[in-house]
Amino acid sequence: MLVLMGMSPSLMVMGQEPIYGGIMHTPLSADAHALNPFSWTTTYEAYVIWHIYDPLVRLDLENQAYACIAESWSHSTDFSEWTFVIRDDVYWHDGEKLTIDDVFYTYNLNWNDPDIPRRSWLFDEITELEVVDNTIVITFGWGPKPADVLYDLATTLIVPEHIWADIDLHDYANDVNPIGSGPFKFVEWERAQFFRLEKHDQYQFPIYIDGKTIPIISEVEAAFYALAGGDIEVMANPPPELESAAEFYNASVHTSLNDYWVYLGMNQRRYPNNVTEFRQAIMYGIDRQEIVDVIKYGRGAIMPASCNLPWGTYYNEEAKTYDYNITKTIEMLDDLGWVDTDEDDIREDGLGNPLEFDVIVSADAQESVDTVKFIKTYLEPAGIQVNVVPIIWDVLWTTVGGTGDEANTWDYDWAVLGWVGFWSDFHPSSFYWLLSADNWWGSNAVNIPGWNSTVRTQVTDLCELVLYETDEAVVADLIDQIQVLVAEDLPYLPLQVNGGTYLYKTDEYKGWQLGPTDGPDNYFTWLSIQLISPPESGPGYLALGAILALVITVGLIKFRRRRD
Amino acid sequence: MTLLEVKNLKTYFHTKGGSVKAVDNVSFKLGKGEVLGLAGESGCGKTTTCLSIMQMVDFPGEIMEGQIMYENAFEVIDEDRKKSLRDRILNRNPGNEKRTRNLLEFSEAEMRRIRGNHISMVFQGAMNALNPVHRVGNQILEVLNIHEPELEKEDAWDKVIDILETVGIDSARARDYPHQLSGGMKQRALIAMALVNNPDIVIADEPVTALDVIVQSQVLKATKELQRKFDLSMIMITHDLSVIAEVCETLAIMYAGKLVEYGDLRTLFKEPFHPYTQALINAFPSITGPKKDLFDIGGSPPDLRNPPEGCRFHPRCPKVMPICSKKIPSETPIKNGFVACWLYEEEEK
Amino acid sequence: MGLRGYIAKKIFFALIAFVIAITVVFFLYHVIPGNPANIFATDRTVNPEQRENLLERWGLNEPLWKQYGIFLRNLLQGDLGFSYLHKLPVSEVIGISLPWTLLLLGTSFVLNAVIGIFLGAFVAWRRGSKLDTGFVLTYNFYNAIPLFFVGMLFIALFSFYSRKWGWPFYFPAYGAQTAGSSEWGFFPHLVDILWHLVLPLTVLTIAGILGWSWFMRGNLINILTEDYIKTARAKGLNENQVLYRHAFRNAILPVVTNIGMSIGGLIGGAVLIETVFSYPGTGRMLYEALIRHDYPLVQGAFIIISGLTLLGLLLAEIVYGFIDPRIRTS
Ligand SMILES: Nc1ncnc2c1ncn2[C@@H]1O[C@H](COP(=O)(O)OP(=O)(O)OP(=O)(O)O)[C@@H](O)[C@H]1O
Ligand SMILES: [Mg+2]
Repeated sequence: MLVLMGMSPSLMVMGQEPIYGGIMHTPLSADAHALNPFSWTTTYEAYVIWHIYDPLVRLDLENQAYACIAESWSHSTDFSEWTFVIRDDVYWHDGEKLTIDDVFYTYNLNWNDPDIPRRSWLFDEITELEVVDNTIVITFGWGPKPADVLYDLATTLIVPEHIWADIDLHDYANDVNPIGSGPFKFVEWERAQFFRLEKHDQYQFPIYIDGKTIPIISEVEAAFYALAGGDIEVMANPPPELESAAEFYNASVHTSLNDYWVYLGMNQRRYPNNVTEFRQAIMYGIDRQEIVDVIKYGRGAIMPASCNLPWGTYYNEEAKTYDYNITKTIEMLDDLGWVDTDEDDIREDGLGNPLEFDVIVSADAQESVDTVKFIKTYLEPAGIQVNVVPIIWDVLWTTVGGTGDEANTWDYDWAVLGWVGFWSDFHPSSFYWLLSADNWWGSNAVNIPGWNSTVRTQVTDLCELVLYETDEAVVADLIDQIQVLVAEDLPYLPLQVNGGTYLYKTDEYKGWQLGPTDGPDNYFTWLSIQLISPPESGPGYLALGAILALVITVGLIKFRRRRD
Repeated sequence: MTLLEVKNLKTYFHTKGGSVKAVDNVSFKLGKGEVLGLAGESGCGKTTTCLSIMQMVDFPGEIMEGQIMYENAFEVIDEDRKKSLRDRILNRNPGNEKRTRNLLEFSEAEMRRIRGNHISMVFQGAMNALNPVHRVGNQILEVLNIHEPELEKEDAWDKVIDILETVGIDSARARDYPHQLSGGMKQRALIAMALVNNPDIVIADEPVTALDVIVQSQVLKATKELQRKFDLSMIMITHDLSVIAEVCETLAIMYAGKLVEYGDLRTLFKEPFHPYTQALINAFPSITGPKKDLFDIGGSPPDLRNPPEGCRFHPRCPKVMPICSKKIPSETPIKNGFVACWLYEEEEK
Repeated sequence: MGLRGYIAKKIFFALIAFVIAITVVFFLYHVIPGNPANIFATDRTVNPEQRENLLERWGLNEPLWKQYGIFLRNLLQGDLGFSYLHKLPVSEVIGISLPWTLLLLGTSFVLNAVIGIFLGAFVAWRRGSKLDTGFVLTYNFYNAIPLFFVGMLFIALFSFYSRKWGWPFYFPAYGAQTAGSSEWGFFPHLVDILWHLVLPLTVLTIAGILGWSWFMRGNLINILTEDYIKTARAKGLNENQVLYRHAFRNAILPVVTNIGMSIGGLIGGAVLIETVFSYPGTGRMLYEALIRHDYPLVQGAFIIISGLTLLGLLLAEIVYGFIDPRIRTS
């Protein structure tokens, strides 16, 4: 054991002891469907589950590791052996103490049980799991980087062995009354209506609110009025036309960037998409800032051509940025010699075919369809004809090869799609996932853009190096190189990173925690938030109920009288 | 003895294109036990005349002018009004409460006491004149329920059965629905409904037009018998000369909203005065011969929104004179009636 | 044939219609492009091997006719399949949402029918009056605004502005009950549920009432020109008696046959209203299942909805048989 990293809660709660608790109301836009820490599939489920269960390590607002169940951790010099020490003051919601055996049970289940949908690819790389006193020692066949281990593997939610040992894992029986060690205890779930959670009294960190209610509100407009009226305290992505009115209702606005970026995929299995200069010309010809400003209402940012999210440690500013420049596009096309020969205002490529492309896009996603329409108008003056082809998501996904089926035809010119969950700002392996010829998305079975230039081999090699490199400085250098190569060769044409806007009420609660990539409704807010003044008494409708009852009684009496 | 007297009745329909003068200055009398035939081309205002008597002219129709004097009207008058009226009448004319009154001055509630009780009406188009969702017997019973509420249920039902048998319907059919009856039976049921509460006057608007010939004469015979039996006064609207010949005593000929000739049936048939009537009757060699439609004269009746000046028949009249298109002829008395024609107004010629 | 034969015939045809409906639903959702299995493909945590397992487990690899056979057999056993999304049997998912929908639709249906019929009758009787003109204007106006918009307007007005402007009441913007209200005891819980019902019910019911009374008004106006109405007046009946004893019942007959259409409209409205008001009913569940491609659930929901609609229609036709003597006695 050479390096020891101790982490303490980075959060200091505002000076004095809080007085008021309160119930915090945060809506979801759709119902969760199974509160199972292994088999959840949607963000709605994840949202609730992460209230109830805790991992060894969470990410803080700056995306740094935050010790949760783990007290500290260390690794061998070659990163192949990782040791986690757990805290001594962690309890399950049923009062049992959380022990290292629970951690071992969870990791072992993920590692060995083929029916568990694994939440981390690193479980595949484990060679040995071992418990020593109150530590768990995880041994890999090689040395994954701290970022990968901490953010991917160590964020696996820990489940209680004394409950799960008796459960058939296919049964999803744990939905009914999930017991975790997270900050909130599960109280009630009315399907399609709400979740009720209450504060876990024995939680290892202080919590001030008494509980959380998570109503399901399908429409953002309705959520907005609920927020303005005081029924909920926070909401995501309010209708843009209402957002500007937020301050009238004592709501503050917070914007952040999401780990969700959208790209234009040019199918490089087809000429002329496989001509790098052509892709570059197209990239110059798209006004991506305008797309962010107009279509996304300014929620988001331009995605760098290097496919690396524009914040965080590994971002390389040296890589090409392709600022909007339509003249450059025209120049480059002229240089290629692809000019309009038959005077129909559409240029012909090297084989004499017109530069006309169908862009497939998910018909459900209006913003993406609009994006394609914008691209169409951008490229028109350059003599490129773009046709908007909205199709249903399933067909789109099969067509671009996303399913990895043998039957893939890759029968498309261009497509607009998005990626979620690559955390390429601090995840050294994200490029490996996305671009390496050896991996799922980059493999020949999927390889959505059909990237196949010599640069691809170079990038694949560099990705491998990153994966096995132990020197952090070298890793950074390698990733810099990858970014330059990717930005130059453009396997994807990244358009924008989506952003989120949040409204949160500052007249009732204080202690909101805000981060660049997080909304105000996050783990650290849950721990620090408290009411400003004592909670109001009595729901407002009781008055109405009384009035109604009075009217009915009076009506009945009169009616009786008249009949007598 | 005059039971009902219509004086100068004017009923107009206010349509967008102008007022349709459907009934324009019509006067006639109906005696006790008398059967008056009302004949005329389609659209000349027969139905409207009768509806005016019942005060059931639908929007946009309006009774503009005239009097409908009904003899037994006093008893339906509202009690408080009756009292003041009685005082006035008795002071002037002691011992006579049964004063004839103008129905047009009656309130809607008073009129409701007239309808079905004193004057009942059988409508044109029997096929649809019974409510399809109520039993025939109950529909007849309803008349008694409204006008004789104090009648015992069983007695009322007995009355319904009685009247049905009188018109020739088996009492078992009382519990049938209209769609289970034949056309003739429906028509009889309607007549039964009109008669059940012993009215003074029955208005029958083409009661047999929709029926086939054999059923027609059955129904007519039954009607005539009943009329004799109860000494009913009737107004019978028809297109059919033989119907008129069979049941009527007096005949009124209507043309374009006006009565052109009115008189005793037999005299009229023998010696018609008005050229219109002449044309009608001469067209038929024998009134007992095969049934034919009454009207078969050249030309078509005028638009009642702006009828011709003078005599309304003059554009079609074979004996037209210059005066005819200038002034409206007045009603010249003839035997038992009158005729409205310039041919007979000596002094004006 | 009589009433019994009529009912037997109607039940027979309803059953045939139901079989056709479920067959259409089944094939429709199996021939449209895309494969339910793609759901798993978009999920990074499911690898191809696992996907195959899932397909196997849910019989998605069988040929279509075989799947149809399995589907029918399961249906007979009351098994509607398994919802990918909810990880529950479809029947259970529907069982959770259906009571809410029935509460909303049932109440709305009764209010629509009762108020709609009487309002329509009243307006028809006073046709040409200011009331009638007002009614016609309201009907056309309300029909021209999308229901979604009306819902939002109601939320803004009665949930938010009512509080802002200090009205003595307001109604919730979402949900069917306050979280935790089930612990308040029976009566307060009931009041809470009714309180939440008010806004969605009102929006849905205004549309329904207007539709019903519009239809009723049209019928009655026609009926009032019928000969038997004249006959009734000539008997000396007053306007009320004419209206309710003679015109009303005849005017209701076509309304009863129209119930099918109005059930369809109600369900369409329910999908919208339940979504706008975040009401936990089958309509919203169906909507979610549709956009998230939960095929078994969509299929199950359609089967239940078409079953309920056909049942409603059947009941309407039976009621019709009872109130129309032409059917009862022929
Ligand atoms: N509701 C109405 N609106 C406008 N005009 C009407 C209305 N009802 C009747 N009329 C007009 O009044 C005139 C007289 O109609 P009415 O029904 O009294 O004729 P009729 O002599 O009974 O004809 P038929 O022999 O065809 O029954 C006709 O010209 C007709 O067009
Ligand atoms: Mg007529």
